[in-house]
Amino acid sequence: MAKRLRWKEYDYTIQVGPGNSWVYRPLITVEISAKAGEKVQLKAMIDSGTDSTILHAEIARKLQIDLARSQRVRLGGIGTIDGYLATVQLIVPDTNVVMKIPVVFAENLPFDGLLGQRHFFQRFKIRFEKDINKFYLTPV
Amino acid sequence: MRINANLTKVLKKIHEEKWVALSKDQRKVIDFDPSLMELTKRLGKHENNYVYMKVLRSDMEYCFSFSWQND
Repeated sequence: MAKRLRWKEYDYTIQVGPGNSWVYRPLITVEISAKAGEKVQLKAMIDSGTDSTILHAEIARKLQIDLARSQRVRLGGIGTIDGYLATVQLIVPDTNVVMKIPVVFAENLPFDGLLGQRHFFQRFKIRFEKDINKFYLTPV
Repeated sequence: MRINANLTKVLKKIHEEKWVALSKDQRKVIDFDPSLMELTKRLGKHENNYVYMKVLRSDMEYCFSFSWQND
């Protein structure tokens, strides 16, 4: 018999968009930490179109990660920017999932974090139900 | 704890492109600053009581999606 999955339900987060419209985004709270012991809780967006996990470089500074000693990578999408690869611990508090994963830190991002296909989507089954503005996670 | 998912009344124009510290229930902005380091420094020993977010501009359509390659 197939195992019944226990999904954690989330509401899409609503923010103001162009023309005072409401924009619905799949944001979740994650806790990021590194070796130095500092940690920070963020509202990151689940983005199936992003290859990896991308975080703003200010978070690296907060976690005392020296990006000058990190591997440089190029991020591409619309335009290209430089990023730096470093390993962090990522916790999704609602699920008790703890992952030690490489993430790319980049300057001048308009957001704090994107949770992409590599690592995050491999660790969770994710169900988007945009018609009711809810999404669901369950650890794999 | 019931998390407030509607930030349209919580986040104002003044918060755009800045880091905000939200209460854990996301019902109020505790403080904000252009720099995450300055913001957490100001919150001092309470810094871990909040959730942080860099607020997008409201007048733009965003398309995220990045891939990366080794240099």
